[in-house]
Amino acid sequence: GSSPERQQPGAALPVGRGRGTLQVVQEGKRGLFATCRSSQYPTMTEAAPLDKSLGNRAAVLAALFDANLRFDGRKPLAWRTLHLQLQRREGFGGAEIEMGKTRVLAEVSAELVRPHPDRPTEGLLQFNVELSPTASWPSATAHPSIELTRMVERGIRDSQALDLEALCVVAHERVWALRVETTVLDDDGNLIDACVLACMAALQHFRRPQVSVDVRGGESDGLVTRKVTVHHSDEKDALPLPLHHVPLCVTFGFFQGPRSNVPEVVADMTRAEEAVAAGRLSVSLNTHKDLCALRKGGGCSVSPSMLLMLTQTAALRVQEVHGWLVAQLKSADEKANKERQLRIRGRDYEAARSVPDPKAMLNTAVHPDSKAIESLDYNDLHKTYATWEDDRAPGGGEN
Amino acid sequence: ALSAMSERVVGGRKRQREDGALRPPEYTMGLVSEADGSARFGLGATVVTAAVRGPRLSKGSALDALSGVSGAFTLDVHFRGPATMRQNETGRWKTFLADVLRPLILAERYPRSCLTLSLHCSHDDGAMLAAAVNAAAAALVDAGVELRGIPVACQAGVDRDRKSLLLDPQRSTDPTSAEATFVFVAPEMHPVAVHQSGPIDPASLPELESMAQQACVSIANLARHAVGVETSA
Repeated sequence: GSSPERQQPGAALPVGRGRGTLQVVQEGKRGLFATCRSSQYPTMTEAAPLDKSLGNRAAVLAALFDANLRFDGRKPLAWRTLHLQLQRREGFGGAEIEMGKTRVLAEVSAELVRPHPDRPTEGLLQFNVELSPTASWPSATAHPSIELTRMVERGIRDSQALDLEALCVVAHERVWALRVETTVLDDDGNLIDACVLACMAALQHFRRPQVSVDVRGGESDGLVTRKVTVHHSDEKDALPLPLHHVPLCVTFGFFQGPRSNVPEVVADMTRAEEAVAAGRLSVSLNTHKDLCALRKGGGCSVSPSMLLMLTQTAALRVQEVHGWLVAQLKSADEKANKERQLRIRGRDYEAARSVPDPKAMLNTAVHPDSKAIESLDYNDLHKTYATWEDDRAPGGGEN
Repeated sequence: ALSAMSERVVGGRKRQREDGALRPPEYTMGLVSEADGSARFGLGATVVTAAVRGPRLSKGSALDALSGVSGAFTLDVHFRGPATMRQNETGRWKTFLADVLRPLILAERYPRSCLTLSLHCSHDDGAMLAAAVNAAAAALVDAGVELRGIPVACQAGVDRDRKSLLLDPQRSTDPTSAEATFVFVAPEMHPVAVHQSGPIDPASLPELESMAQQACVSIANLARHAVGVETSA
């Protein structure tokens, strides 16, 4: 992701064409404290935390319209830095996204269930987005967010990103049911983008176990027995999920300025900006520039030409994020495979050690003497030894 | 035609470490920017994130369970386990955490205040309650709440088949017939609480406790480094 330009505390920005100043006073743990003095907007004489101050609105708007900067020093169409941590366990895949201070964790798990009677050959994909008690305040209990769940469902499931028919194991009997649990651990704005990105990263990193179906008996007997065996990933490689495309979401915010009817657009809003924004647009696109979902909320009006321009900007951003995501997934996959190999090799080595059979030892991946071979260097390998001819010469050859 | 279905999972993982070995613990401090203090404690695949808000002024006169005085310090614990966990289980664990942490907080310094502790466990691979206690303790220290000592917890169990004692049993590799979570207070390592599930022979309890205490010493040392606390001991 692109890195934001940081504004140092203490710097004063001229706003309102010299009629006032915006000064970033202090960056505390709870956010940015700032003062804004301008004849055009209500005067704030005291520094106050952004979340609780009514003058916050004036300060955000003054920064945006007069200095063309946002409170954290970013340009209007600049995104915060992304960080991703991926985890993979047996039958479980997890991805944690950090978008500035926003932190979202998505976990994918799978189980074999009976399919829906009206869709007997399709797997199931369920999403649930919850605001963890660590993020939501003042309600300190976890509650599912319907709005976020719907946005994630529309972006991923309704756009048919996942091939659900490929999740069928035995038609009418058993299909894979994938459950994607997303938890918002820390809320600093732009939750929709973070949730969709975390879900897609988790779905791409997840590996489902291989299954084999053993069918006994025939139609003539009247009883057909099917035995479904789920193989542990150490026995048989687990498989990635069948994805048609990767949809990602980009959210823009609209701010109504004093001068023109055309609203100012910012990307990747923080929580303080979201509280002040006049409208919001979320666009879900994939790398093929197909529009998967679009949602416009809030009262401010947006012209069709601006809508088109924003969709094109979103498409570029999706390409950028997708490229970054692919690189992260690749390195995490290599690391997970390496750990798996070490685990398997460790077991085989243990088994070989307990059986004193030379043939079994030869078959293992780790040869007991391999360490000795690895430590030999070139000079050791090509050492010359004294022959009987050298011994006869005075002084002798090297040993 | 009738059809019968059966499923089984083939293959599995065995415990990769010794019976008395702990998984490597991991602390991450200050994750949640909106909270006054936060920490994450990981023990292998089990990860618990804790966030503390407060102490802040509590409105009204809430009756405190410990002292029976109205308007005293209150501790609210909220716990959210993994998706597979039922609601009644989280209720039991919330009570245990409150019982362990409430006496350790120097409530005399915070009259008429309330402290909210929120915990979220994303994945449970055994020892979730111990991880919750450790994460909560680190979050309280990160928030600057004054404590009498730092609680450190560890879980020990009895192997279902071999009947041997295991330290820090993993759900994915160690099937246990009984488990006990022991809580000690650093730096003196006084045992303060035990949470047990399943039948345990009383004769093996001292051995389980000493096993857990030794592990808690390592966790406490790591905790001290992680939170940056200088203790007198």
